[in-house]
Order: sequence, then C-alpha cells, then structure tokens
Amino acid sequence: MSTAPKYRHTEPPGLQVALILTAVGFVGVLILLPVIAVFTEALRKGLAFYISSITDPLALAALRLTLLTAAITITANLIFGLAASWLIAKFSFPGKNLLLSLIDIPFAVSPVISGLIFILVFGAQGWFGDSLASHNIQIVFATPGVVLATIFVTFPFIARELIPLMQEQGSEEEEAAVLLGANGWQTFWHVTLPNIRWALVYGVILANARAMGEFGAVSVVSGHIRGRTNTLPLHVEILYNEYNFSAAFAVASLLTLLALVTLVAKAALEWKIRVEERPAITAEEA
Amino acid sequence: MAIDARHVNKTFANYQALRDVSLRVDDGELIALLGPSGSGKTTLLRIIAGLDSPDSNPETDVLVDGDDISRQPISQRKVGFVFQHYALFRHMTVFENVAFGLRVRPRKLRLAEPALRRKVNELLELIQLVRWSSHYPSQLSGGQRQRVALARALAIEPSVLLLDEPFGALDAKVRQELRRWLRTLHSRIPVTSVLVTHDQEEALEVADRIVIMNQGRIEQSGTPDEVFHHPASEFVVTFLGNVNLFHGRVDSGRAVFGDLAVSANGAGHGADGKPARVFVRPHELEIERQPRNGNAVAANVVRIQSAGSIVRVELSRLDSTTDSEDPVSAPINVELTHDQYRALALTTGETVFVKVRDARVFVSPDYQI
Amino acid sequence: MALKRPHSVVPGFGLTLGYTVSYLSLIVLVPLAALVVRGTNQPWANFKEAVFDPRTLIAWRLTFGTAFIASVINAFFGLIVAWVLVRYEFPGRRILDALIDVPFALPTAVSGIALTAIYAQNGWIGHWLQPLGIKAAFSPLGIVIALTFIGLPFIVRTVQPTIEDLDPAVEEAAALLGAPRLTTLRRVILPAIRPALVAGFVTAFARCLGEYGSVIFISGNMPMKTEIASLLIVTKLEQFDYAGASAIALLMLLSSFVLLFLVNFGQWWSTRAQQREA
Repeated sequence: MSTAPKYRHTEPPGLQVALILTAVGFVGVLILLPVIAVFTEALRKGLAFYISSITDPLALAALRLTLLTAAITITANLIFGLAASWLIAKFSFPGKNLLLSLIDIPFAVSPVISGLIFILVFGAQGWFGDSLASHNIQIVFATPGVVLATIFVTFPFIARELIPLMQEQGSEEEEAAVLLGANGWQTFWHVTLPNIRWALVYGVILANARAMGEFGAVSVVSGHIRGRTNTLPLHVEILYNEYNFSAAFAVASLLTLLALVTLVAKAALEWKIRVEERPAITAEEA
Repeated sequence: MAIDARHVNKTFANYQALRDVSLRVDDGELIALLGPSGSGKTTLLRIIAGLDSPDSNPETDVLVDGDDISRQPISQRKVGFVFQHYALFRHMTVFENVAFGLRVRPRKLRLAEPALRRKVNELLELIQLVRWSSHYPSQLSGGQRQRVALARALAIEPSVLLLDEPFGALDAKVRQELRRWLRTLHSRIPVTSVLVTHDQEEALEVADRIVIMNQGRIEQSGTPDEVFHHPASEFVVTFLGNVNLFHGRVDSGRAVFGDLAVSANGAGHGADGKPARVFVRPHELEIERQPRNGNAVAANVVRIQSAGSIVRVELSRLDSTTDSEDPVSAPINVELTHDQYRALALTTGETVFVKVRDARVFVSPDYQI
Repeated sequence: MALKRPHSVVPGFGLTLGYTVSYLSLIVLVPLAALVVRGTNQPWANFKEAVFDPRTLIAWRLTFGTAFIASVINAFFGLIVAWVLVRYEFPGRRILDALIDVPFALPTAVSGIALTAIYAQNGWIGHWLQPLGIKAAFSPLGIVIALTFIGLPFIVRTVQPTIEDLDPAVEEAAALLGAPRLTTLRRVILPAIRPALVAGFVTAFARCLGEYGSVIFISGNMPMKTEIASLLIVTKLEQFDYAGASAIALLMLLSSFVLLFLVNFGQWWSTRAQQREA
C-alpha cells in the first residue's frame, strides 16, 4: 500500500463521489454484511446459548484437532519454506523455474481435488492402501489424512513470502560470514534469519489462517467422524446441516475472529517488512 | 603471507575471463589489479579468495603462503574480504559486526570474552569509530560502513586482505579520504593486500605495485612510476591517463610524423618505413611562441579550458600531412599549469608552436613469413 | 549436467535440495500422479461416460457459467474499487482496503453459511428480493453471489499495483493536449490497466472453477440444477466411484492449469512487447 501521489488532473467531483459510493456500497453489501451476519446469527439465541455452543465437547474436540493440525502443518511448512527459499535464493542450478512452478501448484488445485488425491494414494483402494492396512495404519478418514491435506493446501504460503525477499537480499552477507569463518548453521542463524524474520511471521500467519480454516480438502479426506476427525470448519457444517443454525454460527464466529485478527496482523507486518527488510537504496548508491 | 597464482584460467559459459594468468604478491605488498570492466580482475580476486575456482589444469596453482588453498574449506582460509557494497550484517551493531569472525570460531580457538572485547575495541579505535560501536550499519555513512567492513575483515588476522572495488560506491571526496586512510592503515598493519579497482588514480595513489589487466590477461606489472612512464603496451598507455596519439613512420631510428620527429627507442634500420604510433601525454607537450630549436609544429589554438588545477588547451596542427597519417583536423591536447598558461598569455585563434618533450613509440610488429 | 557442486560458496546446497525435492515429491508429485493414473487408467468408454454424462455436463455448464458471470461482475466492480482505493482519499479508506482481504482470510464454510443466511428467503437481503420474484439462495444466482464474494480480492489485488504504478505525467500530458477527463480515462488509462485486469479476471475465474465450501451451502446442491462440478466429485467419491471422480477432477485440473498458463504466458508476452518498444 503506497500513498497516492498528488494528482492534479482527476475526475470531476461528482464522478468521484459516485465511484466511491459504488465501491463502498459494493464491498459493504458483498463482504461486510456477511461478516456482521455471522455475529448477529451467533448471538440470536442469546449469550448463554452462544457460550454453551462453543464449549460443547464436540466443538472442543474439533477445536483441538484444528489446533493440532495447524501446529503440525505450520512446523512442517516452515522447515520446507526455509529450505526451499535458501535453495532458490542462494544457488543457481538448472530446473529452478520448474521448482518454483511446483511450489505454486496448490494454488491452482481445487480444495476438493486436494483431498481427493490423498485418498487416491493412502485410501483403502489407493496405491499404498494395502500396505497401510496390513500395518493397521489409518491415514485417510483419520487425523494423519487431515494433516496431509492441510499441508498440501498451505505449504506455498511461507515459501512464497520468503523466496522473493531472500532473492532481493542476495547472498553477500552470507558470503561475508562464510569468509569470516562461520559454518552453515551459524550463517543461517546469525545472519539470514534476523533479516527475514518479519516476512517469516507474515507467512506463518497467512498459512495459519488457511490451515485452520480449510474446508473442502479436509471435508473430503476426513470422513466426518464426529469427535475424532472433525475440524472446526467441518463442525460448523455438521451443525448447519442439522439445522442447528445458531450453534453453527457460534462456532463460525470463532473462526471469523481468527480471520479478523489475521487481517490486522497482516496489515501491521506489511508495514514492518517494508521498513525493515526491503534493502534501502542510500543516496550514495543511487 | 605471499600469494602465488600460476597459470590460472577461468571460463564462464561461453567466454573466457582469465587466460593463463600468473601473479605473485610478496608478503606485505599492497598491489592493485587495475583494468576496465570485463578485464578479469574481479574474477582473479575471487579465485584467490576461494569464492570461485579456476578451470582445472595440471599447471594451475593458487598458493597462499605456500599452501594450496583450494584444498581448504573456505571457513578455514583466513582470507579477509571487503565487498564493494560492504555486506555488513544489517541486524548487528558495529561492534558485533567486527566481532563476528571472532565469535564463530570453534570453541577451542575462541577468545575469552574480555580478550575478544579488547581486540574489537582496538580495531574500532584504529578505524576511529569507537563512538559508533552500538550503532547499526543503516545509521552510518558509506565511508564509515566501509571502514567497519575493513575492521571486520582484519579482526580474524587474515593472511591476505582482498578488496573488491571497495570505494566504488562512494562519493569522490570520501573516496580520496579513504584511499589515503587505507594507505596509512596498511603501513600500520602490513597484511599482503590485493585491491581491485577500475580507478587509475586510486591505483596510482595507493598501491606499491600495479597489475594492469585487459581481456583476461596481464598487460603489465610494475610500480606506479614504471607503468605510467614506461608503459609496456599501447593498452597501458591509453588506459592510464589521457594521451595524444600520432601516426607516423620510422626513419633512421626516429619516428617521423608531420613536422615532428622523436627518437624511436632503439628501432633498428630494419624498421625503416614501418608505421609507428607515437603516444604523448598532454603534459609532455610544450607550447612556444617561437620554435626555439626546431622539432616543433605550428598549430592553431582552438579552445582553452580551465579545469581545476590545470589548463587544457586544444590545438589543431598546421603542418603538411605528407608524412603523417593523421587528418589535419585531429586535435592536439596539451595540459599546462596555470603559471605556464599565464606566462604564454594564449588566446583562441592564435598560431603557436607545439613541441614534444617526451613520448612513447610503438612500432607495428614485423610480419615475417 | 550433473549437480556436482553448487555455484556458490554458501553451504547447504545438498541438504536443502534433497529436503525440498523429497517434500515436493511426497506432498505434490506422488498424489497428483495418482490422480493422473487413476483418471486415465480406465476404459475410454468409462471416462467418456463420467465426463459427458448429462448430469456432469449440466454441472460443467453451471460451474463455468457462474464462474464467468461472477468474474465479469468482479472485473467491473473490482476495477472501480481498486481505482477508488488508489486514487482517492476518503474516511474509511483503510477499512475498505482491509475488507478486500476478508474472502482470503475467512474459512469458506463460514462465508458459505453467512451468505446463505443473508440471501435466503427470510434473510436480510433475501426478503427484499422475494417480492420481486428473485430467488437468490438455492439457485444459480446464489452461486454467482458466492463466487463474486470469493473472486473479488483476486481482481482488486492484481489491478491495484498496476494503478499505483501509473505515471501521472502521462495523464497530465493528455490533459495538456486538450483531452477531457473521460477520454483520458478511456483511451490512456484503461489500456494501460487492461493486461492486469485480464490477468486478474483469469485468476479469479480459475479460482471460481474449483470453489467448494462457500458455494455448497447457498446453492442447494440440487442435481441437474444447482450442482457444481466440485460437489459432483465429492458425490462420486462417497459412492466409491473413484474412477469417475478422478476423471472429472482431471478435467478440472487441466482447465485450471491451462488458464494459469495463459496468464503467465500473457504476462511474459506483454513484458516482451514492452521491451521491444523500449
């Protein structure tokens, strides 16, 4: 977000107002209204009902699974994101563009398909189905499946934040560190990490929002077993399908709050990254 | 710690950056690798540092203090490297930047904290930035940052100090100051140093010895005096400073061009008739109102330009062109001191006489079939 | 060319390459390969039947049609929103800017039920539309509304940077040459924004094709009427028709890849064109 420069030649004031009202009206009706509706519907049956809905044992089980999934997913994707961005930013090798395209794939894949593919690999009739069954390991329709599908859907987020930043920052500081005698881990920990920490947090926040809120992929892979393989979004769906609308919205309101907090953090970090981590051009170098 | 690089070749994709380059730097020497972009100077520096490796070849050797450095992992080589854009650790203070090389040493070799602090502070005093030790690089000027980079490189007591166009990103004034400061520093801490630069003034001012490179080869290696006054090749004479070029022919041991003739440095009679190229620096020409002892050419004053500490006079020659292959309009550039200029009281349009005091002659090589 | 040594003095090439490639293979390549194999490893007749079955065809038409309409709506309004955000100062501008990201951040199930609540017969907006005879929820219109909600950020965030990068000098030149403002907008500014607008449109369109969570609540999911393709895949899965589900999924994946390839190609081509001009 940059500050708009002063435009001396611009639209007639009447047109400006019309455009602003159109934009505000459109976004207000399309986006703001649903957000408000979540909270209105959640409290429709009163505060007591609201609280009992979100503390219901099944809701809590769903919350636990959501948190667990998010924690595992974020950790795995964090390590991947750091490894991939180090690889792509510090070295040159053939196939780099192919690697970048592969990392972008989950963005092009429908959530439902993201779940389907894991059933095709790990399901009872899947490629590894027989060997898994013989070892009594259950992946799909169980927590591991939920985690895998969530990892697939969210892994680009962190990598995509780090890669352009690390490419922009170059490798000179790391080269200097190595010449001064540092080994790989020392270089990464003392030199690289401090330079990317805000972008890292930003990526984690985005990935987390997506991990906790993923619906389509998890819906396909989880089997909807109440109390065991239901995440928070799935629990919302179940409540809704049972016509337990207020309870559904109550649980949904938790997810909405998470989304709003994510947006606030995102805006704050965008500013921070711009100030601290994009290398500034000094007057001498300009 | 002497550097000895022998028969180094380096090829990138489809062009050859270094062609059979051999370089020796004595212990404690400060040499400059000077040349235009693409001459291979930075490539050679990086190979000495170990940041790149030469094409493998049984004759190739890069030795620092007698050791083949390509066998050692980079982190153990004790090479001090200063980057053009500083490469300071932006999230560490000045103190921590300088201390970094000392802190990452393996436990056995690491200094105790008090000793480490003492050493870092000594270096900060040397670079006169003690008061800035808790500041961050972004709070420093370019010149200060480069001093920190130097201190950081010196902290590990390197065997060699390599500087890659260290002052290239700085203002002219700051560059001059740092040049002098580097020279002083080197006299206090005489580490074998190699400085890469494309700025000839810098090389001439700072280095004990200058190595001029062009297109992957070494053109000449010598003291600043030697390369400036006794250039070994045409490239060297045209690269270092301004020069006037005259075309002429060899005749009885002299190079004759128009109304002028100079000694053709030992070209024998076999060279008679061969084309000669005569290089004269602007300050090696004199302007006279009357030709005193022949060997001067008449010329018209075209332009007079006062340029800082000297006066530049552009003239066009008026002699016949039968013996000369230069078009009449080719200008002669002369540099005068302000005193000389005032003594002559020149005005544009006048006719005066130009005399050659000193010159370098290159005769086209013989082609023997 | 073997990857013998990294082209840099920085350590860690082998480790990061190995980890990255393994991770990608396990999480992305193997599962996608399974899809391709499962989808194509069946008699062509079965594949054809799964893909060209009347129910499937209607689902395709519905999916593409609603995605297209929603993306067109977003292109129009998204452009206005992006323009207003970049060019004008007004109270609440920052809030408007933040709201654009809500569809990105909100779980699709939550947007799904919220949109249904608003556009159902007795919902806030639904009950105004009812006397007009317009049925929003449980009809294709509802699907369009949901997809518009999902796709708006793609257009706005793609077009915004382009508008920010517009050179004010060009507009001033046009004005000095005597062009009225609307003409300048039409003939100078719009063509400059068009590539980004098209790219945003295609990206939003690709996203809408695969959307699931926000649509299934408001659509009613009536086969042959309001059943979208992604729902069809789920239905087939629940019936253990893996082959059929894979067939449809493959086609959907193919369309997404083709669309995204077109966007990337278009950007590459227009950068080349700009370079040739320069």
